[in-house]
Amino acid sequence: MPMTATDRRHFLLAAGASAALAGLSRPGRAAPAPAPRFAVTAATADRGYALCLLDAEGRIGRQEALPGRGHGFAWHGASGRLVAFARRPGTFAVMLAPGDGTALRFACAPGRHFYGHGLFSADGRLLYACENAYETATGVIGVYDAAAGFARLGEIETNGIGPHQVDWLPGGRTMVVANGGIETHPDYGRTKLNIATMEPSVALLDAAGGRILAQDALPPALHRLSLRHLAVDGRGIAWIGGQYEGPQTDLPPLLARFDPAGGRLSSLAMPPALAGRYRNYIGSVTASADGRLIATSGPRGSLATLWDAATGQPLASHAIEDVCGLAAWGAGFLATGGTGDLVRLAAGGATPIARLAPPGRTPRWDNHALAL
Amino acid sequence: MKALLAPFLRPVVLLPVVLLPVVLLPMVLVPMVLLLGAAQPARAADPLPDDSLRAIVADALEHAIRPGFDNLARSAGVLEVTTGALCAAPSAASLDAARTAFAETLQAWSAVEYIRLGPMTDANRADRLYFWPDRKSITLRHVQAALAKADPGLVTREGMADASIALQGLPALEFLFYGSGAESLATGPAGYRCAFAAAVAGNIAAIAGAAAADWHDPEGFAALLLAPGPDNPLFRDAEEAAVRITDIPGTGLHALRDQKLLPAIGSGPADARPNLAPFRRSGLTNMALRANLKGLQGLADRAGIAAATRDRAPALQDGVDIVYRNTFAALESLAGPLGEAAADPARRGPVNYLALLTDRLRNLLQDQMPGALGMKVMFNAYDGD
Repeated sequence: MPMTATDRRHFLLAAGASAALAGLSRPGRAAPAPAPRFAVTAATADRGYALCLLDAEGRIGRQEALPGRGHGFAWHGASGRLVAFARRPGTFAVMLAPGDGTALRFACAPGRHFYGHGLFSADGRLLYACENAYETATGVIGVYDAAAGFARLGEIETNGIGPHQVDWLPGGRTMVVANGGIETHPDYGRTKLNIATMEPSVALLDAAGGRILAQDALPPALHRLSLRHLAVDGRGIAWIGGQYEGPQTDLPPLLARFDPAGGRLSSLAMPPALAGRYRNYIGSVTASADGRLIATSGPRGSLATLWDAATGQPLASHAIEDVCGLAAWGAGFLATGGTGDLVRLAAGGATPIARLAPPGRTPRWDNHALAL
Repeated sequence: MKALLAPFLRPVVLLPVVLLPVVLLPMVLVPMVLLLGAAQPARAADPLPDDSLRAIVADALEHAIRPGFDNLARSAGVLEVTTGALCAAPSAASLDAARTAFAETLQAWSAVEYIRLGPMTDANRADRLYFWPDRKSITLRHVQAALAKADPGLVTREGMADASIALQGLPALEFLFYGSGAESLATGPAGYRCAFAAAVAGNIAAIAGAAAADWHDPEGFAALLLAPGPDNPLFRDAEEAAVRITDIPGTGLHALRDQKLLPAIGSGPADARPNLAPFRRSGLTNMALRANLKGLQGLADRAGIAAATRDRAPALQDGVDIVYRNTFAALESLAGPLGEAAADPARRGPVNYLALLTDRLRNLLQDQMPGALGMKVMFNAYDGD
């Protein structure tokens, strides 16, 4: 759906308008809002979509309605600004400042849509967002001025189709981006247009100059492994999770690592039984706070795995129905499921935190979660 | 564009799962038990019993999928033969015969088009048979370039299998049979265009034959679908296998709207783009859409999905039946091919109605039926990104 001028106009949402939690808060609980600890996108009981802030016990402290289905986030801790992006082919983003309660909705440029992920510059001044310049199927990182109402300043090409997620290397000057390789166009909804010829890759971008510093792809036999979600570990190695578009009976290695030092991308072997459980689909990849663990989620296989970042070995896997969202939490992670489950994952085990609704009653947690 | 001009990438078998020893690691199993209390799947109704789920899969294979692909292979075989006959003895009658075989193959294909499982995910078969959507008219440009170049290497079995996917299937053959210059096929002697058409027809027959054979392979994908269980590498339980069948009508409707209907009809006559309607050159747009819908409805009937829905939620299935009936009536009432009717204010009415009806049908099949059947609502798994 092409954007109208009205859609593009930035407009303030009434601060605090979302205090009424649309029936999602627990009845009879009038306690002050707990400190937000996590951000999660969700589908709500009334067939709407929302950005939810949760405390460490999984209680919803704030819920901001979204105009469509959300996806991932950008967060700047020092300024306390959170941005949730529309999932493709959506064009909205919502900035929320949990501290002072302000909210701002903005949109990407005409001819662009968000892929659903992005990040802030180290100083919080600029916001970078993964986008599709869809008339030419050019992958770009849109650049927005956080100091000017998130006005769009321009864009950086990622030298590939479908840049899905981006993260900083240590130092916050160089970003690593996964070009998923799949062409889509809003005229055709979410249809994947080029599966037979897709060419996913991982690129390093210099944020200041907008140049490609390095780029690599997996061998041609793996060209239908869409490289989508990624996280950078404590040593600066990017871990990339793939989604396989090839024959259903193939069992390709779904995880790859990109070492910025050599500029090379290499597949990571998974124990075969574990690989099969993932049903050829990794939904998100997140690093622990100390960068020593990586977590991956497989919603199709209902499985989350913790990996030792140094050795590349799986430490533990946990069965969680429809799990996708992963956020760093202490030495481990929060995992969220489409069923409404919240589970704390540590290398030693998994502990259910909360199930906020009976089956069939939402919120159903969407693809991604973030630690604030 | 560079990618599409490159030769078709041959499939590389990475690691067939059927060959793997399937032993779940203890580390996977132990915490699963631990979390059972927390993670019951969200269901709107009781799940269907396992034998019902298994029957859906078995009936779908026996009564819809295998017969459907057999029919496609048979039609494509006739297409190959009649195209060969056309080139051997060009005439108006032999061109008619080849065009008839094309229409029958298209009808057979459309009936199984949205069964994008197992054998159809192998070797890019679905894309090679039917490269669509084709927003940038790649088929047209590649076919015209190939006609201009007249490379004898292209029109062999091997050359065709290595060619751009846009040259390999039904849309390319449609242009050769119906596009500008097609009349020359009826007047001898047969030239490059006919050899090209024969190579495409042979390629379509080869792909369709291989797909049908794979659906019958006693050790292939169908065997995995039929025997779900903890040792099965793709389907750990009966529901995981059955969902691959029960979700076909809804995902098919969704794809039909997104990829064929909506791009061509636009939001109004001025916004319509008749050139984006599938199979507009042959005038077979409406026939192919009808065959798509008949295929989806037939699968639900023959697999027992409709009966299970009627059993659980009679009014829901009544609604599905009514919308299907009205949809076929709306298609029938189109005054001319879909794209042309969409662009003409005087003929637009049934087009709008068709858009509305298919939206209702998609909603019933994709949003309401799974819950009514007690299927898990897998938010992230089935609609992730």
